[in-house]
Amino acid sequence: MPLTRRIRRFSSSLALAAATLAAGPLVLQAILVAPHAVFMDHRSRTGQVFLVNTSAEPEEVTIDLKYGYPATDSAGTVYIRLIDQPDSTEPSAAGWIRAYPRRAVLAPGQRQVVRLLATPPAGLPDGEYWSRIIATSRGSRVAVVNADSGVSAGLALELRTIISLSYRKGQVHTGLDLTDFRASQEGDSLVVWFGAGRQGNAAFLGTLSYQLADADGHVRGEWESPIAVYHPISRRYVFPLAGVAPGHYTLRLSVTTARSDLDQRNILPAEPVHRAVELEIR
Amino acid sequence: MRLASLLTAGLVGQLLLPIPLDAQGQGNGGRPLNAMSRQMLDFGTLFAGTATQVSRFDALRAGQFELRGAKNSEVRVDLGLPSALTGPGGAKVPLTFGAADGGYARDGAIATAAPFDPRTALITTLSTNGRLYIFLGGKATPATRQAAGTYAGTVTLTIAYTGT
Repeated sequence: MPLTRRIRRFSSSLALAAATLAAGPLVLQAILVAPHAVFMDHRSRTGQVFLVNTSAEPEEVTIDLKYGYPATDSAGTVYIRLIDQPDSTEPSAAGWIRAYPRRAVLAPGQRQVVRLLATPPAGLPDGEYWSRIIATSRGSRVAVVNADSGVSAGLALELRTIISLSYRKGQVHTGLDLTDFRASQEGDSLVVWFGAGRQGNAAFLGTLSYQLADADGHVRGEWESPIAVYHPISRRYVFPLAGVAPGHYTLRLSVTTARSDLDQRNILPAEPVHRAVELEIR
Repeated sequence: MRLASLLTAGLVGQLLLPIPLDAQGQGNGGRPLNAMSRQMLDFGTLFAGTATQVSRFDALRAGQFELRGAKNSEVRVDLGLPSALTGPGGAKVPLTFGAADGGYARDGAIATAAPFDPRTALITTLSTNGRLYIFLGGKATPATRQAAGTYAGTVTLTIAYTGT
């Protein structure tokens, strides 16, 4: 599909989203942020993010850039690690990419383009540099309930949407080092530990696919999850085993760079990784 | 001074120019992520000395949020919950949120939403049409001699894709 058509389609989908929401049930507060991953390069040094107020009330939106990436804690839970003052070894772009405007008040249905402009330091080595864009939206109205007792209560809502920003300069490449792959049954669930590091000078973006096959090779369970490896991670996945009969099984893992949610042109190629482990389901 | 003016003018000019088509294309990294509040948690009328509990199943008073994004994608949702509503002179109405005060569903049905502890993160996937619905209950406990006035607090809902 030609680029201009793709852009038109992207803009149309934004407009359609806003129109659909406006026609739906009442929305008190809402913010649409698009896209959910921004890719910039050293040649153009620019990018953009769309904000749309899809609610019926004015919204105040602020944009912040902060260094961060998906990480895992000791329980294998994923979170976005945000670092205010990254040290010089971290490939942070947060300090030299600016957003314009950084604050806007959006009327209902209003769309705002936030332009991103990079002013990287001279002599920046080839590689990928990262930031997170944090869009914080606050409604203009706080619902306050007046009480007979004289105690009035109201709760306001702040919506924070965090998306990724990748800035690429020169030759960038990536790959995946699988460091851990274990599976066991815990109650009615399959628990899988997945550990990985990244090769090269850019983040690995891809998809994990699991297939649970019985002794006859029939697939009895399939699961998929998008994966991003910036720094080493150790994730714990839990999948339901409902309907899986007791027996001997093989869990097959495939990690590829296929992504259904991202434009494939923004995904760096890498060698796929395949592994398998045996386990008993009781 | 003149150099600074020229640089500023150049920067402003660059920002006002249309972004090149191929730069727009590079910014196209997926579908929009839309977070919505359909209903804020509503404790209704508060009476001094009487605790008010709102169930997450209460369709009229529970907080109701909706996320729309890329289908089947994994998201992390963090709720920042206030420990109290703050009123005149710093007076507080304590709020408590229990392990069963959060609910989530991919079909929007409040009655069959799965429970989660809203004090911890929810990591789950959006539905096959890219939807996730979150419900929030909680409890407000005004003191017996609660000072009259307006009390307010802020709930923060943070959403992030874990796969980018």
